[in-house]
Amino acid sequence: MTAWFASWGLTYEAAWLVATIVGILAIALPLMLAVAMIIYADRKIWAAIALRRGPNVVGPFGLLQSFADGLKVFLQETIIPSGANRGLFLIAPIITFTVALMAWAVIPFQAGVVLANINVGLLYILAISSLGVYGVVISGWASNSKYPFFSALRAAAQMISYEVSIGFILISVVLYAGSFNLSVITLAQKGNILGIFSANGLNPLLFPISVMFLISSMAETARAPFDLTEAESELVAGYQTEYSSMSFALFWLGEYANVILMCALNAILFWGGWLPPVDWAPLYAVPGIIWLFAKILLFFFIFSWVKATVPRYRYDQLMRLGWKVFLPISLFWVCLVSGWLMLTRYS
Amino acid sequence: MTDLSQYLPILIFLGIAVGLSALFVFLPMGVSRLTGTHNPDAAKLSEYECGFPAFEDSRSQFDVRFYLVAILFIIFDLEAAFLFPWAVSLQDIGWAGWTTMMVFLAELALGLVYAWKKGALDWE
Amino acid sequence: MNHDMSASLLLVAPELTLTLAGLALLIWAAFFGDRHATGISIAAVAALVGAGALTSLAPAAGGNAFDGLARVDAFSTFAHVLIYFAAAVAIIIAPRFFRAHTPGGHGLMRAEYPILIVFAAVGMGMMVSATDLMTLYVGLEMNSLAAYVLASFIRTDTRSAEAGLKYFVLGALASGILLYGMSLLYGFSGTTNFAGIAAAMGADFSGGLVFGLVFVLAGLAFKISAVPFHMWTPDVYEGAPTPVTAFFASAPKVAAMALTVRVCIEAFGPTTLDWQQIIIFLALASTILGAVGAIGQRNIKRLLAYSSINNVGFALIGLAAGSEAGVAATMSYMAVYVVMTLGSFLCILQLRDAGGAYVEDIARMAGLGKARPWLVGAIALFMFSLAGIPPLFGFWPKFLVFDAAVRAGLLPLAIIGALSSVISAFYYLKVIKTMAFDEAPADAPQWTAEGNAVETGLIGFTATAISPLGYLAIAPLAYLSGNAALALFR
Repeated sequence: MTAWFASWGLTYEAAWLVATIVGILAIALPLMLAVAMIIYADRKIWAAIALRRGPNVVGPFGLLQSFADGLKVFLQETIIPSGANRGLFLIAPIITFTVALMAWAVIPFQAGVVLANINVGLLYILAISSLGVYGVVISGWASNSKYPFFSALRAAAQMISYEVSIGFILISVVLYAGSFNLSVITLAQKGNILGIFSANGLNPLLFPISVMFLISSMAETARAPFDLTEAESELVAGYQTEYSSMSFALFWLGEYANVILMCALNAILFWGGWLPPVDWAPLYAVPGIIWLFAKILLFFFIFSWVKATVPRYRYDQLMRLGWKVFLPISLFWVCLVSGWLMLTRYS
Repeated sequence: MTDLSQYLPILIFLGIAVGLSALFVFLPMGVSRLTGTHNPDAAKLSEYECGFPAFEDSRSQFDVRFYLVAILFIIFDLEAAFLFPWAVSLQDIGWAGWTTMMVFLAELALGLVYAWKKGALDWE
Repeated sequence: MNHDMSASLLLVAPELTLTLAGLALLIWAAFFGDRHATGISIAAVAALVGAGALTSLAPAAGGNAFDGLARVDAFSTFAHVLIYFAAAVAIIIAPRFFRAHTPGGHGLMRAEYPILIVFAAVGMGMMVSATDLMTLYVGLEMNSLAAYVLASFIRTDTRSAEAGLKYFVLGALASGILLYGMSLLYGFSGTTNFAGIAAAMGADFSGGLVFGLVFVLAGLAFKISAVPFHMWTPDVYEGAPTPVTAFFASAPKVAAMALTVRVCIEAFGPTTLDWQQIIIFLALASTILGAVGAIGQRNIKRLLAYSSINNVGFALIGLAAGSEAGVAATMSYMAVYVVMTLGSFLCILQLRDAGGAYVEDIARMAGLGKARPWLVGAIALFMFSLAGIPPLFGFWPKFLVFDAAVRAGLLPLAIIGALSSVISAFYYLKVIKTMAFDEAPADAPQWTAEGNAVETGLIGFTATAISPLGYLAIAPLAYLSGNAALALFR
């Protein structure tokens, strides 16, 4: 892309800058569009499972529902409670949304199509997603209200609990690929199952942790059945209780952007990313980005399906699952995978 | 080799993302003043409660178990931080490196067993 | 496993034993809880004794383990044995104390106590054989983290909790200072190895290395509680449970002192004239402030805290000489100091009133001489020895350090040290006077004579060691400490 801009007579540096900014906007703006549509999809899937019709008034099939909602919140009044810390109160949604956007910088959409092809991409994702907890904690604290405060505490404990097992699961994947770079991890899966399928998840050694990662990613993004941070029967709307207008919407957008990110990570780490599921030449005619989006949508459907059908966990059950089930198993799996690799690949 | 120039787009991305988020937060505040929806009153600005003023400061004492979770998190997250470089260099460090890390993991696993038996992982 | 690895593992066999024992005991404690505290304590002492026996495996010529991360030689062995002895004593004296102090009075010691001591001993063992900044720091932190918990071991006691918190906050600060100095040393010398740092210092001692040296010495001075980094000592010693205080005053002091000596000689060797100034200042400030500060103390544990500051100052005088004889004198001093201080704390642990509560207030001890003459006799022995009054063995190492200082041309330092020793004799004598000659006040406690064979035996042993009979030990002590010092100046 830099070369194309350079052909307009710009110097290399200027062309690079323009190309980078265009690239960033090409990620950020479609992402926001995707979030709007995915919210619509979420509601539709949820409605369908509950035998309802879901949004169907605004636009054909209700397709414009999210945009109407967006316009509505945009024109609303931003209420800052008198007891709140004004600065922190306004910074919290900024952090949440910024972090949700930032993580996408290292996601490879196709061979060579990635904004920042850094060699520690997975580490970057871990680092950025753990920053997400700050938005929640700050909003809970700054609101100076009971329900957001409890919600923020719960959210912090929940997110860090599952981050631990996610870390260990990722190590197993990294061990297999031998790299943190998400493109390398994707390419390492090319035809890795009997030369036919391209998916870590079909490897018997990695399948169990792929399931654990799917569940952990639901917990990490506080999606149902792990949405204890906004359990409406106990905590009203959780840490968003005091928010209104676009500040409220930013949490909403950030949350869904994180959900899509987790779906993308599931697809990239365990199910071949942009590679076609079967390593067969004609399938490569379809652009890789289509395969990636198809996988993301599949995972999002699973997320919605679970949300619509599984009842909410209790907090003690949630913590038990994280600390007493996932942590020991993922720890054991690191030993198992590394030992297997030492025996078969490195010795 | 490390290509540090790859990190520059991330920095630019950070700037754009912060700008975009800040725009989303502050623009509606300006717009609502223009459209006249900005109309605060005392009741509207009070914190959310079920129809009565809050009894106590919301930033009250909370359960010590949250601290415990945070401490355990630090231990195991650091452990993961040690595992990351090990995971990508397993090929080079061989059995000696593998054994060393297994000893480290075993010690931490014993720590986990201890915490478990002592009830640090219970939420009852 | 190649030959190098197995040789290294053999060299660190004592640490290895203690680590494995500590982990096994931890699991034992996790599954059976405080009911098995006695068994765990016995096993921990056995592990310490076993580790002490394993130090004899160290080759006479010394050996480098793990590519120069640690060095096992006569110096480290000398310190190891002292540390393990003090740690074992700290475990032995604990059960009776904690039985009187358990919340709810169910009469149990917590099973974690011996385990923490064992882990602290592992850390201290690493400290004294460290020849690399990494090993130094890991060992130091391992010891410190266990110590923070130990200081606040009686959770329900505010003084104990306060002691733990103070120790933790100040200890973290000191660790930060130390780490900062270490990063400067590493940055300007390009290596974390002591020998490498010494080479870099010998080539060009300037800029960052100077600051690195100062910060590292400041961090270490905190650990040995030398003035001006002693602020935590009285509060922590007073608040911590008495067996823990006994432990703090003995084993970690030896470890930190040995570490300081090794860092000064091996890493900073080429710059002796530079660090000497710092050590001289630390020694002077510690002896004087330790002596003067103790005079006004009313609590016996606080008094002994100042006494330990004072004694560390004397031990530093040996190091300040910067010579082989000086280092030998310092190590001899620490050996005798450990025996004296453990003996003092053992005696303090006998001071219980009829209700079983421990008496720490010196004024309330008036008239003790009539109720427990033998105990007061032992206390008098330890106090005179700490003061360095000639017929007792405490005099000998003081003589050694002054001798080394004078030989190194530091006559003023020796004179001021001797003068402060006279000041310190005043408060030791004051304690003895109160106990032995003052009339018992109206609210004097009813002293129980309830004894314990093991503790009485230990008091007897330590008292004998520091009595004039101790002079029989001069030859072996001189031989061992001489060997230890020689190992550093090889």
